[in-house]
Amino acid sequence: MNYTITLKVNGRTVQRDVPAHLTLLEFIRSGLQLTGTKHGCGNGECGACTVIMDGKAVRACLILAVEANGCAVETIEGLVESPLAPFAGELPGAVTGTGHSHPEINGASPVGEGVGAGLHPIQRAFLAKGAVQCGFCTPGMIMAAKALYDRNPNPDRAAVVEALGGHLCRCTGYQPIIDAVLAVQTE
Amino acid sequence: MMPLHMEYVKPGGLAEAVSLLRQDDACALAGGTDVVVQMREGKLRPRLVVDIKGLAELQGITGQSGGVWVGALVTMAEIVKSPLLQAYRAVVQGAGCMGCCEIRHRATIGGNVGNASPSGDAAVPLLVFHPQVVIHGPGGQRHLPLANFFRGAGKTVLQPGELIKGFLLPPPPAFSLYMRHTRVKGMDLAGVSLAAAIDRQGQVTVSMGAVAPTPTRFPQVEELLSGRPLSWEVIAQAAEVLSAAITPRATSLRATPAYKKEMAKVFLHTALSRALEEGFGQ
Repeated sequence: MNYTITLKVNGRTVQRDVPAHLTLLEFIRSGLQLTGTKHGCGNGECGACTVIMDGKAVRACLILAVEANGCAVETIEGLVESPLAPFAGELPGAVTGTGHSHPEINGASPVGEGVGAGLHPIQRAFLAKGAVQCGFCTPGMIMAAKALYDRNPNPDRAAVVEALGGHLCRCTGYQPIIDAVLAVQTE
Repeated sequence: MMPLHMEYVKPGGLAEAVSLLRQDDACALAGGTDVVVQMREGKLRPRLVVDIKGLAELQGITGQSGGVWVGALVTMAEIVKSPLLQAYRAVVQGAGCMGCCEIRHRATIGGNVGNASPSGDAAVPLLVFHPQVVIHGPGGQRHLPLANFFRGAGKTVLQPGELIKGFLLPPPPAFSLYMRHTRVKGMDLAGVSLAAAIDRQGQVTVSMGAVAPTPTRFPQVEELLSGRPLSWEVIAQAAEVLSAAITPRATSLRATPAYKKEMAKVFLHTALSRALEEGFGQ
């Protein structure tokens, strides 16, 4: 049996029919083709699937898509008006919007100026501090950091460590990530 | 693998929730941080998921005749921030160390107790406050002490159609503390945990997690410690009694029985030292 859900994803209203067993993570990745949100452990232990729902960082793998009915969800794609985001316009069922109609992507002009221009300040800080290696944990880390900044514009190191406490990174040793999140406020 | 044919209902009221939960293979869903994991692991295969998050009667933290009412849907994040619950420090500490921010935003106190894990980070400290569990079901409402709610690992007294409405906490004790040991600093389940409280008459309450099939109190230890000044001799004696009283299973996942028996002593000693430092138990 399917259930009709209506929710806001990155500011846009989406309506879809979903089965009860579908998780919000599967819905975001397969239903909306927003593959920036990662499927790591699938058990709420790694943080790779973190999105912001009604202002709070949550694990998309532990939430059923039907539970998100009426909610506002932010994913990593929502941080910038990225021309690469497939989720644009009126959200048809299939993947659309490869972005190739954008002159920026066709090489006519760079996106903004310099490395990371056009990105969210948290994303720029991650680039500046070398906080990304394989990148798999990065979207979850950045969404957790955004949820932190949304409620606390001046977090100290302890607050950052707490906000990222449930996020696993197998590459960086965490310090560059914490440094990056702290560096956002001095940008 | 998630149960592919399950159905989902979000009832608008308590009566509807109860009648849905009376059906065979129905399962209440609150924060989902245990239920969804158990469904994926195949441990829970409900035919019907009843999403109780909309039930107003299960929400809120309010003062009530010197104590506090905590609705079953109150999240760990809400417990940590609640001004009314700060006097119940052990449960604030338990809620604050559970999982991580994202888990604490979703995980509920009713869910943690209803899941009846031997090491529940809300259930173990809650026990030392002598709360009543308020249960709503087909026969109406009933209350019982939390200590009588657990029936085994993952097992409770809840009958089909019943759900936890909330918890009634008596006035807070003078002192309380929760401690747990985990294998890593970050996200982990407690390998062994202990909560202690001392009320204004010098009555001591002690509970432990992950040393028995359910969160458990230790009346023989409580009796030794209550109504007298806490000397180092009496603390040491109580620690030995506590250590001898626990019989962790040999197949414990996160710590060996011998280690848990040692940690029981360390935790009790640490908790009561802290009480003395803070001026209680003299």
